[in-house]
Amino acid sequence: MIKVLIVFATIVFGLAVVVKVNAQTITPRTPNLINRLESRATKAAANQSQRLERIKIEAGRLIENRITSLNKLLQRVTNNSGLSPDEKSSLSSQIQLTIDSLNTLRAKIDADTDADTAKTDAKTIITNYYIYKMFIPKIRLLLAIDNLQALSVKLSETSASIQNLINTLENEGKDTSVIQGLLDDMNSQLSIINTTLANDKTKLETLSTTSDFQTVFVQIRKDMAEVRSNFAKIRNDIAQMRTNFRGIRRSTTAIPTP
Amino acid sequence: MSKSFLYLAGGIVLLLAIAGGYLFLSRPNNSATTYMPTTTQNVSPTSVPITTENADEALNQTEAELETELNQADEDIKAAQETSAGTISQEDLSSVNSL
Repeated sequence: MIKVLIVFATIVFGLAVVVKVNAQTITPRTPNLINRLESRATKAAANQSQRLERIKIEAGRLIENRITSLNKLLQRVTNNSGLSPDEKSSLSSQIQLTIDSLNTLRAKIDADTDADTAKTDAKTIITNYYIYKMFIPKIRLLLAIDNLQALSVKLSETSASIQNLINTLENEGKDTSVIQGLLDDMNSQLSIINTTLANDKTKLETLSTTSDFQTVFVQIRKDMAEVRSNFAKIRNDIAQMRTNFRGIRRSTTAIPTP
Repeated sequence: MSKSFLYLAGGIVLLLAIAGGYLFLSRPNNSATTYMPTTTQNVSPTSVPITTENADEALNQTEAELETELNQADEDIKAAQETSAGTISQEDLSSVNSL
């Protein structure tokens, strides 16, 4: 029994010595550890701050590039002489609204205090706006369609004027059947053009960042190629009408042979 | 009584002076008002009626206008395609992702 007690007491003593020695060894090291941890925390905070700053600078650059491109587009719309004031106003306000929205986003990113939040916000410059992928191409195509619609209106006026001349010549007993055929073809082409342009304009106006805009753009480019071909036929009709009118004029002014 | 009459006469003279001044300044081609912007309206070739005499020239002008507008539309369509197919967006997204 005494032996057991001696062994137990020895173990307890041994453990006490070990704990004491350990305590003595650790205690002097604690301030160093805290200092190191503090230093690491300061360094991490500085890194985060630098990262936040880099994100803000990069976001600012991306937004600035987009606003520059949008301002060029705005200038292009403003200087377009073929558009009606309503069409100009509609396109300009869409562009201005996007510029304002990007400026609001820039202010938000500038005010961000956390790098991860700033990074998430910076990504939305690309993923929420699609300025290059969707917005600018959409406005450029709308611009092309508006101009072609204006051209179509002018050609319709020309067509009406030609029809009046044909009627006058018919009353004078001239053969206008060829010119009438060409004019009918011109009107038919204009009708196809007007339908295609109106449909494409609707498609573009309802286009958003969540739409399958690439597919819509492909379809519109295909339509535009057809519209161009329709206009080429009209040009050909007009060229032939010119030749015919020249012939009628010559026959009218020709001096009859004795 | 005579004072009231003078005021009335003065008022009438003033009104006549204003009316005369207005008529003087508003006469056509008044050099004193040439600073005022004048609105000019572009006469489109299509707004002139086409006759046998001017048909050749008018249609020639229409053809030229058609060509100009088609070229402009081509430019816009081409620019739209190039912008849409460009890689700026992917490059910008990679740049943000790397931060």
